[in-house]
Amino acid sequence: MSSLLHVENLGVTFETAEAPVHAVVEASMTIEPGQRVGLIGESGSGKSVLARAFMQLDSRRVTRFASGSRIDLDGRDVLSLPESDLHHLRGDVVSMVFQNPMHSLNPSFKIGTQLRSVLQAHRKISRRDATGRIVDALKAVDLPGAEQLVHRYPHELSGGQRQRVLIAMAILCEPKLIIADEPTSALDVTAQDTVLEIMIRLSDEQNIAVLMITHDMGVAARFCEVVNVMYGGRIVETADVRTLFSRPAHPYTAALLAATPDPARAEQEFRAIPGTQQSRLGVSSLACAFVERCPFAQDVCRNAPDMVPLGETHKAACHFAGELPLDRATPSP
Amino acid sequence: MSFLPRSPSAIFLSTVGLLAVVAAVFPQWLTPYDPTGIDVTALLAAPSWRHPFGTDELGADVLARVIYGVRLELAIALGSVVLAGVVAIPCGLLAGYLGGWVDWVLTLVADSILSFPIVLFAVLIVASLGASVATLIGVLGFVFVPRIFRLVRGQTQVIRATGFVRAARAMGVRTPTILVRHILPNILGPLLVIVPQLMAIAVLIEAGLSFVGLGVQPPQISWGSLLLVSKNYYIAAAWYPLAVGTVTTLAAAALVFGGDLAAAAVNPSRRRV
Amino acid sequence: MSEVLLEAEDIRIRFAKRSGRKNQVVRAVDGLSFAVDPGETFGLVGESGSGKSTAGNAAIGLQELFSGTVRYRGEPMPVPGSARWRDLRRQLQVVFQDPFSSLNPRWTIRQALSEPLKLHGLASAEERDGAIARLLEQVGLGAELAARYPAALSGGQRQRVCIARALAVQPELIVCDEITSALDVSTQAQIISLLQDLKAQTQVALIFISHDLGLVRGVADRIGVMYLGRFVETGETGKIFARPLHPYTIALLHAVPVPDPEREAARKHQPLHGEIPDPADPPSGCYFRTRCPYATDICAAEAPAFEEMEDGHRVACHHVREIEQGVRRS
Repeated sequence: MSSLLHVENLGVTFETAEAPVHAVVEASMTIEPGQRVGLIGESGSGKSVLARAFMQLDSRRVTRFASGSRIDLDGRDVLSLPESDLHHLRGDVVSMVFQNPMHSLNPSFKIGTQLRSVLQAHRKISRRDATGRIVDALKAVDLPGAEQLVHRYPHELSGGQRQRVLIAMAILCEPKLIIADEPTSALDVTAQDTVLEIMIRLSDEQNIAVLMITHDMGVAARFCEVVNVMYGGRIVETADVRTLFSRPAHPYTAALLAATPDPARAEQEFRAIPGTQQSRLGVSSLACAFVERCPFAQDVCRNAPDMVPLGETHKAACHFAGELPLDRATPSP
Repeated sequence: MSFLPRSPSAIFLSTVGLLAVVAAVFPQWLTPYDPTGIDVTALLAAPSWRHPFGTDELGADVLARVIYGVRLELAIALGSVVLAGVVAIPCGLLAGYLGGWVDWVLTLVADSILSFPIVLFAVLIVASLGASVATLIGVLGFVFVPRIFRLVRGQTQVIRATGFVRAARAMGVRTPTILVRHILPNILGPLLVIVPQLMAIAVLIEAGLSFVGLGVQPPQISWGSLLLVSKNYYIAAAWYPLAVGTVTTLAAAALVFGGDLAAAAVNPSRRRV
Repeated sequence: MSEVLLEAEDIRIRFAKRSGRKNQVVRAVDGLSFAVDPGETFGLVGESGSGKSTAGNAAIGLQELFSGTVRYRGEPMPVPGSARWRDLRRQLQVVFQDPFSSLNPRWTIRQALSEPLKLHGLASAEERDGAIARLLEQVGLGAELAARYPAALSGGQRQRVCIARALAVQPELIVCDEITSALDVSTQAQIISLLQDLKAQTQVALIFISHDLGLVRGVADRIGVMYLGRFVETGETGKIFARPLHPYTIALLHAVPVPDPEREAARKHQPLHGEIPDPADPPSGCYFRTRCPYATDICAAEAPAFEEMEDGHRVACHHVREIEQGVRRS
């Protein structure tokens, strides 16, 4: 079974007035059909840039891809596709759900109109059939009163409802992959719960792969089957979700886990990672992305490590992968 | 200070600005000619190396008259805006920060003034009080008050809601101190944009009023009064009104662009300290 | 018995809201009572529209009350702007959510930290630089940052400066209003760990407002869970997390994803149906009844009283006994 998405050695550089910014460096990842994959990283890690590269959403004028970069999506080489072909990918094979539902819906148009414009951009479909598909999509995301909803405006809905509309929009053309960039970060806990539940169900029922980009380890633990951790523009660890949380192999992953509050634990650690992320303005560093802040750094870390395979799907970019005492203490309820 | 001009346009406009100030204060440094000199041997002479803008109907060098005119232009433009600012900035701060009936009353007054058509109003006042530089400054100042008021009021409202003002209030800082030390410095940017714009408007309105005889009166020199005289010779000596008109227009444009650049330079998010 | 530091008694706060042509009243805070002891951290938890930020502001006199009283060491909160109110600013401080707008962009850090020192006469001109250096050190920043502008600092550093600014007056209580929500997880951990050190050093009391349950569990001694301006449950943090009794608290705890895939896989998420009601037009009786799996007629008829279950644990629910005994309705 060939992968739905295969990214190999992707490097994305933005040309800015001051100096080039290496937003993504030598990133490789895979998404299988119907799989729920996570991309975890904090702000500035490059996760959004990576995801946008799949659909070439950033302006091609200022974006440079490193030679040797490859993005294979549904059998097609995205980086060599002309703009007209990319149009067929976006919204059709791949859909995107962004973070802030307030910004993704046009306040001047009814919900139904906006949904219909997406559908009609990719399918030859009559208005009546389109409305039927739209109502079905709205029902699939558990929005009550779908027939009336198509006549409402975005401001009449709550944040959670709007995000569900966007998910409905994303599934309209029966995509194979949905890229969700922090889809629940702007939502309340209860709305987030609803949205995640719906996304899991849709992914299972309709065999849609989902790339969930998030900084929230709880969301990753709940939603994802496989997780990639990003830091400083590089993917530093990839593993299935249980392995990542119980046996992390990269110091950054372990540090992130230690810093994350767990509402189910009586004692919280709040172990901070010393230092801050550096700006990636200028020449790409040849050292490990995490070397300045890593408690285990040695001289050899001045050379960027390759991905070390540690199991079937587990790999980590660390010279000492698998040897460090990074085990998390088992949580007490 | 980091706001020294660096880009070519900034350097150019700063030089122009500097020249204008020199022209206003020490015009004799920029031209050897006497603006009121009469030379019957060179009446309405065409532009040449000796007289870049030619000479006027009395033989005086036109460029010299333009340069000497800068003083009044600057006085009127600057004077009216400063007068308006002295009134409008405190009112805007109070209206924006306090809200309530203070805001209601002040806005009402400002909107009423705003509804006067500027030129018509100027004509009326000048016609009743007599044309003079002082009248012009007064009229323009009056008309500019609501424009500065609205800008200051709006910006004050925005800044009042920011975290650092809330923090200052939570610390117990009193309102006048907040207005002067927190809000005023942060409205500098937009003010730096609007002030030169209003100055440009002042220059153009003065030109218009003087052109119809309601502005600056001879022997005082202003570009508007020069336009009034020169228009009679537009067939025989077209360069004469053209030169004056072009300088007027370019000055207005330079003011507006200069304001934009100054505002960008003062923007704190540009500082990389 | 030590004196209660801060006490809010049945406070209500209303805002006018114009919706279309109607003038509506939003009851942002609708009958809240709580107390904070010296050195204690009281957590205010809730989702958007719960009124927690408004309540926090009101607790230190930054928000006008519609009715009810707030007392500091027994003394009713003076009128905002009055001299006594300004004096109290030395005891009651606040740190806000957004570090990027909480510092005047045109002031250096030194100027920002001098302001409270000057205002309350806490250091003479000669002493000031030393005081500022000590404050910066207290929050884990180098003294050389004093000469810089906020634009040169990261979000975490700015938030530390805001904390230093609040500490400058040596307050007895600081309201922390979502102070880490705009920060990354790793930066958040730094700030919280700093806060815990400061608490140990200075015995300052905190009102910690957050929507992040994990965070609150690690920081607060007691918490109050808010829904649409009212408390649904208050008590010791450990007890509430171990045995939540109000349906909303239970729903919240079930909704929060836990960073442990094994446990997540074993849980059954039953998302709460419905939406948060319009605060300008709340349901009759118990506000939560429109989404509550236990709601019956009495819940619509009258608002439940705040009942004390055991030492300090209070719940406002008509059906709390059933829930306590584990009777569940699907």
